[in-house]
Amino acid sequence: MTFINYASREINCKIVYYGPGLCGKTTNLQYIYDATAPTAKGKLISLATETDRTLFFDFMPLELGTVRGFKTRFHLYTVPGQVFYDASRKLILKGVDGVVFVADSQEERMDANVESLYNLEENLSANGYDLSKIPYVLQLNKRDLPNVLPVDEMLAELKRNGEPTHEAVASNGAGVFDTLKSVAKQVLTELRKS
Amino acid sequence: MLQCFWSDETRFPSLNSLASIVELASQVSSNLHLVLQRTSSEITPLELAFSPYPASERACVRMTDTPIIMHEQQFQQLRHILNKLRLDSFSRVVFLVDKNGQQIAALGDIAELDTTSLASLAAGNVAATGGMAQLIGEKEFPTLSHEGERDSIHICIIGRVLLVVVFDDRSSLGLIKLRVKQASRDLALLFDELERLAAQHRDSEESLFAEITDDDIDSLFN
Repeated sequence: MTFINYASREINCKIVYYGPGLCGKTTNLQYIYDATAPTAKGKLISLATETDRTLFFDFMPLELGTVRGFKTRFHLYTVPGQVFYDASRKLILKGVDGVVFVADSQEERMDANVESLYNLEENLSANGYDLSKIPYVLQLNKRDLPNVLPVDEMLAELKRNGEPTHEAVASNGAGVFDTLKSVAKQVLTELRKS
Repeated sequence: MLQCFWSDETRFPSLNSLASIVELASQVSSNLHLVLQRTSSEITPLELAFSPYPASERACVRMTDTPIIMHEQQFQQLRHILNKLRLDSFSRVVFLVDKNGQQIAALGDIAELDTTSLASLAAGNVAATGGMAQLIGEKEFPTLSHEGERDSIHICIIGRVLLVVVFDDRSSLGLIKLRVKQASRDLALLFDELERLAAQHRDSEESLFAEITDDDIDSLFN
């Protein structure tokens, strides 16, 4: 849910990175954090277990610049990917303005992708959203690994409507900003429509 | 207070039925305060409560999925309410966050405090405890307190927003709770007004953002 502050001339939006466990959601955020100028970002908060698995969420505020005199600030969140953290995932989707689904391109993770995407649709619906109607981007991550599925095959399983898709290698930043730009653009376009 | 609960499986039939219940309850007491939760397509009654306040002073913060739009005048009123709360309660920091973690306003010793992170964590905290509440059959836990050795935090849920107060040993939890309760009424009225203005904003065709062009959006990323 967008927060528009006319007094301080700010627009705040919430973007959530969703996907199965170990697909690279936190790595996406970490890359954005590392590659952004200190003036444009806040702290990266990571609520993780001792083994660095996301326990509740990762969070970072990112300021993109000014549009029509309004500062645009995006709050980026990730969800915990492991199946048993479903209650937490549902909570984090509350008030979301845009979603990035990070799919793991490795062949053996395809079932996990499908299950997680189904779970996303279910949890969005529980919060009153429809995946086909909100700003949404599909990212095919880990394209550098040897055992990846062909893009066409992944899209046939995972693509829902006409959502933008991006191939990525989050660990070296390939496709990370393209994905962010893609979802941020849709969120702002949606704001214009409303 | 009369509370009515509906299970997830039970859909409330219609607004007419809701009106009948309100009418019936009004015969019992004229001080009926109705809180509604509006989703995109239906209205679900959450609670019917007999309010100690007269009709003119009643206010409720409706839960909607609409954006919060803050105007200059209401923002100044909001700062005034928060500042009064801060002074009356001898607290260090007072800030207001929406339930999704967006910071709305912050007052006090905030120079060395990362209020953006605190806002998202406070919202996460409330969301997590709210989830626990529902698991044990409660609607939510309306207040949360965390006591530290030196500083403590008190969080109060007011409709769609969270009032967060950070205080130290110059104050006490009892005083904070009392002052927060008083400020909550003013905040509820203010957010009711914002909700009304947001509805007007939706109806008006002069949306500022309608003028945003593709070039404006592209320029953010160049």
